[in-house]
Amino acid sequence: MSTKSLIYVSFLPEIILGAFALLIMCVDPFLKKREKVFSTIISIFAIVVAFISNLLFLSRDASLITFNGMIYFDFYSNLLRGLFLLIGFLVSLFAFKYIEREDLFPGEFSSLLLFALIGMDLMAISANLIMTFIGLEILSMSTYILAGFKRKNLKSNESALKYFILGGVSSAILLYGISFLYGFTGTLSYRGIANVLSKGSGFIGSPLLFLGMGMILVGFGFKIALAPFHVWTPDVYEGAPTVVSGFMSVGPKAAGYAALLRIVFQIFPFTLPLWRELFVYSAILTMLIGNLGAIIQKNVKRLLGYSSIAHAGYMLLGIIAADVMGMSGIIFYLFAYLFMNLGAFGVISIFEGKGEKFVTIDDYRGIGFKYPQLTFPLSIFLLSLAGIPLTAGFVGKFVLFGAALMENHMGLVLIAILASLISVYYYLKVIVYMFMKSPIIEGEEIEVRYSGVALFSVLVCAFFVLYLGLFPSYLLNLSKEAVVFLGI
Amino acid sequence: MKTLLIFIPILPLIGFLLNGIFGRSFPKKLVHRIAITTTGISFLLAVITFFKFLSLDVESLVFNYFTWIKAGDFVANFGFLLDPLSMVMVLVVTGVGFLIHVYSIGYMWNDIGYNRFFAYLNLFMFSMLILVLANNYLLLFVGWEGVGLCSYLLIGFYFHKKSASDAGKKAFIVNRIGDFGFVVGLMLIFFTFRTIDFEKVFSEIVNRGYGVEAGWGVLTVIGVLLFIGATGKSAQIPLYVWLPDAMEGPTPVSALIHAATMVTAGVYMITRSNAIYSRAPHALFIVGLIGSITALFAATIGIFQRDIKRVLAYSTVSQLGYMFTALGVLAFSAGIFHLMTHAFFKALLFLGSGSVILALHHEQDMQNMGGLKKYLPITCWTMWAATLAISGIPIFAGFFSKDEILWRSYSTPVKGHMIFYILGTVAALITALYMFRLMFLTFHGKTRLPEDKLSHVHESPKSMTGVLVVLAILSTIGGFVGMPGWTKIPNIFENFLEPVFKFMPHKGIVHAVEGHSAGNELLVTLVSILVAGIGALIAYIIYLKKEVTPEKEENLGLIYKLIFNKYYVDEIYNFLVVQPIKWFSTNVLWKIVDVSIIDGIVNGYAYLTEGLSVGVSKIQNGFIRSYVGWIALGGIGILYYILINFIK
Amino acid sequence: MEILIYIFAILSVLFAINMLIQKKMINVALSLLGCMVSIAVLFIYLYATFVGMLQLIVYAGSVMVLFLIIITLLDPFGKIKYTFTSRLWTFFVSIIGLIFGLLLYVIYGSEKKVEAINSSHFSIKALSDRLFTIYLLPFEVISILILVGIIGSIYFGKKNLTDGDEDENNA
Repeated sequence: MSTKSLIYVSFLPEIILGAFALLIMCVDPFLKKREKVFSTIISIFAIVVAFISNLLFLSRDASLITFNGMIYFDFYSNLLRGLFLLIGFLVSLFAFKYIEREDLFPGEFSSLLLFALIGMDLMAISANLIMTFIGLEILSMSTYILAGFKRKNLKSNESALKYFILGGVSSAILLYGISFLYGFTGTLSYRGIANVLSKGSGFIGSPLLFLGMGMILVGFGFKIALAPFHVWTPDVYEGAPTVVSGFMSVGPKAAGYAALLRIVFQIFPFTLPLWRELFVYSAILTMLIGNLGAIIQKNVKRLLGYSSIAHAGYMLLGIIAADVMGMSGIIFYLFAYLFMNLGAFGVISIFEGKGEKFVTIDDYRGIGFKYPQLTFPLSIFLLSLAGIPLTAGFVGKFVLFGAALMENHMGLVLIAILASLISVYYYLKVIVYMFMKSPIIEGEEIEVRYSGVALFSVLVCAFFVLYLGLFPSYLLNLSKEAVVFLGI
Repeated sequence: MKTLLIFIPILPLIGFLLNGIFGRSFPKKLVHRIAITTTGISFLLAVITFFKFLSLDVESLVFNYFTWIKAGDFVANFGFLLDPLSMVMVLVVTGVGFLIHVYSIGYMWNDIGYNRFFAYLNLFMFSMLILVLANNYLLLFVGWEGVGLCSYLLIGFYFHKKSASDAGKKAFIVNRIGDFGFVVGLMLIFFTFRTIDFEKVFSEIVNRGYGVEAGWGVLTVIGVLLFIGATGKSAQIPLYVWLPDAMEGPTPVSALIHAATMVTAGVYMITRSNAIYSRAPHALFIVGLIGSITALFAATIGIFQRDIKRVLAYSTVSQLGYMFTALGVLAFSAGIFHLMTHAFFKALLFLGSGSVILALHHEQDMQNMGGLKKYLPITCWTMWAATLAISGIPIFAGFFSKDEILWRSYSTPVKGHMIFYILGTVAALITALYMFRLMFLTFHGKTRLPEDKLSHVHESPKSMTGVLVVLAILSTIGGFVGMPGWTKIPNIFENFLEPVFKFMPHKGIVHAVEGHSAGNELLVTLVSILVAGIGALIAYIIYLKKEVTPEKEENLGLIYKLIFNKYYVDEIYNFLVVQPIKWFSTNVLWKIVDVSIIDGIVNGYAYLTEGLSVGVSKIQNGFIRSYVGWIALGGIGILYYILINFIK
Repeated sequence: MEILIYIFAILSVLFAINMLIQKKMINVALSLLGCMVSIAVLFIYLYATFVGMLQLIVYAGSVMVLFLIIITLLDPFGKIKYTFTSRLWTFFVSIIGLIFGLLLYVIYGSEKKVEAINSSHFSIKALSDRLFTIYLLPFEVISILILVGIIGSIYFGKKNLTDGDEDENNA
């Protein structure tokens, strides 16, 4: 392959996504209301094509930098891109009927989703801080709009506004940090900064550098929802349209981790002790706040909001371990988390009914055996989130905790285990309400209507949660192969 | 054999899937046929495996089906370990499980949720079999969590009853504490030995030359942590409180899960880890002490309970205490022997009580029973077999196993063994007392049942009484495989289990017992027979001669009150643990962790009508600003932390 | 000339503080304008003529116009009062103080003094040169960001967002 075509191959999935997003915007205005579904179908098609192109052009052996040092073309990029496209695919499937039910606009939704995917991809494949930042902004901007996608709903508006303002603040801090790094090293490319930093150990003690690093951590901490930058999460997840909450809980988090891993290990590998210490405190705080906060929640969306904070905390253990096991654990966990959390949000989006009316735990009373095709998968997702064995979540947690343990973080692992045992309580509470409580008024369970597409995607998620719980080796190997490119 | 073995757990899983997914549309007969066929075949396979295993004449077999988790240096296989210990457990689980499935047909026939019940029961069988067959700690944990989950689901089976769902919740929360210990222990094993395979861990212990730890070494810590897990699952002090409440579940569940199989998981796990415990005398002492205290403590509570199932529940806690006492004196095979006999007679007792309860239309208070012998003859006589067995009357199964435990705790020179022996012997007396009380109050004497109700009382259907008879036979003759030493008849059971203990450091101790004179052993046996006889006699005098009824017991006053209310342990826990947590979650969590604004907004749908701008300005007043403040504060904290710690 | 940089630096800070104190929206916007202009002067002083101009045109020019339009649309009579309690004051003042202290420490504690900048470094030619070679991809990708922004503003701004055929009828 010539270098020129390699440039485009390395960026092909994003080009495809962008082209189809534009196509949707061109086609959508000419569609009648009944035909609007077509936009969603195009977006699903785009994601599938992008996925195939990603699969066709794998770079399993070498790490290439293309586009004037802007983009990494390596297996890490490939794998993470695959992860993001899976997220996009499942979200589109869940959105398929959801948009129609809530009387929203498929054209705008699909194109924004595709743009958000481009942003996520850029964060994972970027080799330059400015590229990473633009990716982050594209993703954030799209999610701000998606969060407020129900224009007439006050809660959705509020959610978007909050996310927007707080996101703006965190982006500003991130950019400020990047500018410090630039001022210090005179370059923005990962490799360039790493080179400058590795030349003299005198640089390491410089406050300017640490200030830059700290601010970058704040910026990403916000995206990933690490404590103490998590405050926005529950409110925003609760207010946003459910499918979007699902997307927000996995998408930006995965992209944030993808970028953070690259930054930590490719720019600052030798300042790891510093990061590690910060991450240890943040992880403890994140896990405790997430799990304790979730215990008292009655709204299922808010509950999952807190739980997503906790999961970000578990994943930090992988970075803290900073070895192949920990890193591949993070990537594995991102996959596991994608299926279980998105699946859970998917089922919630079905249960809540038109207008998102039924979102408290009390609404779930007694529906367990009425809709086993949905409640069983939801139970699987929740058990997996809780880390019950034979599910993907258990394997992920075990690998992460095990990795941290191998690196002698005994206390941290103890807290993590304690935190995840607490979490079992509130996840199981939902299951108990579904299967073991009668509705407040006898015989008045909520009516559930669902489409075949939604059921299909729920079952796909459930299948993968169990599959990854039973046979995680293949994905773990892939993850291991990918993280090698981070230069651990 | 490899494929044969995997089908033992897989079959119940298939049953679960069929009944769980399609059960609602199946007719009742099909539901129980599926459930019973799957467990029945899996029992058959277990028997075939047993004979094959005997014919192979090996110590143990490991079958790895596939690599489950492989990350970094860590490898966990999905594999089974077949050795005498897991063989015994598989036979007990599938055998008793199958019988209880059959019994459930009659017992649950009129219940709503018939398919749900059998689905859960099959899922339980699957998890339990995974637990006992696993060849590593992680897979064992899979089963461990699985049986726990089924247990909560089945305790809360009658969920419209508040007490039932509360009991499920209690079991769940208490077991969290135990699980914490277990998981941390598991992690510590992994951390220390870099593997979690049973055989690898144990041979690593041998290879690295771990001796018996004098102080608190790593093996002792692991041992204590695993035992914390066992106290949760096997209902020992201080985590026993969930088991009596677990009797809110259907009676077959009490028999299968909360008497015969699941609660013995802790005993199994510690026996499996004998290589660790035999090197950790401090951990062993804790196991024995907790076990023997529980045996006595729970037995005393059993004396004054009025609910027939609660008596049996406390009896189970007490008997489990015996098993742990056995483990505490390194008599692992005696513990497993008692586990097996206990599975027979306790399952029988529960099923018998179920038969009574069903006949009396869900009456469980013994105040309203008495003289039922005439109406429920088979139930009565089979339950007598079990009562004699649990009380340790010679010839019956429990006699041999309990005697073995008492003899071992008398003779094995480990720390505190005499304390264990004395506690165990006193508990044996009380066991006979409360069991005979139960029998006399239920089946003998004058009936305290009103006439109109009495006429409806009739013996249970054949599917139920048949199971009772089979279990009664097992409870009677089941002990002959483990003859005491003074009879000079070889102890088949102990010899069979011998290979399991090959990693122990000094088999010497176990065999040192044989050095004791046979006379001493006979003496211990006579003492325990005497003690059981005294207990039975007291019960006879009080409850049959003097016709004391549960209501009259109340005249005992303070002591009665104390014991009847279970020493107020629940209340103490509530005061010391539950209330502070509640206070914490309402006063701290709500106010600090969850900076919720939504409460205000939910009430404020009115804003919608007033127009968006008002709503938005309302939101802006404060909260976003304070969120930004928090984020800024966090950021500054991080930056200052960096400055202080890393810049010289 | 050195004195100019201090004057405008102090001015920008004063304007920013004033922006927080003012109660009326219009005054807030005007303070922001002052702040932006002062910063633009600082840019120009640092030879970053192009960035300085951009700052003037984009922020002081178009963004400010947008602000003013929105203010006149939402609150033509200046009814909305901006509240700021004393508790919040202390909170934010302390946060700002902490940040300020941090920056001071960093600037004076840094071993590497900022080198004198060559004016040719920031010429428009050099800028465009880089923009269309090394930074081509980010430059192009930003168009997506802007596009997303446009979609968002249309989506939230348009009054009746219904399907195509109805729109035509309305028009």
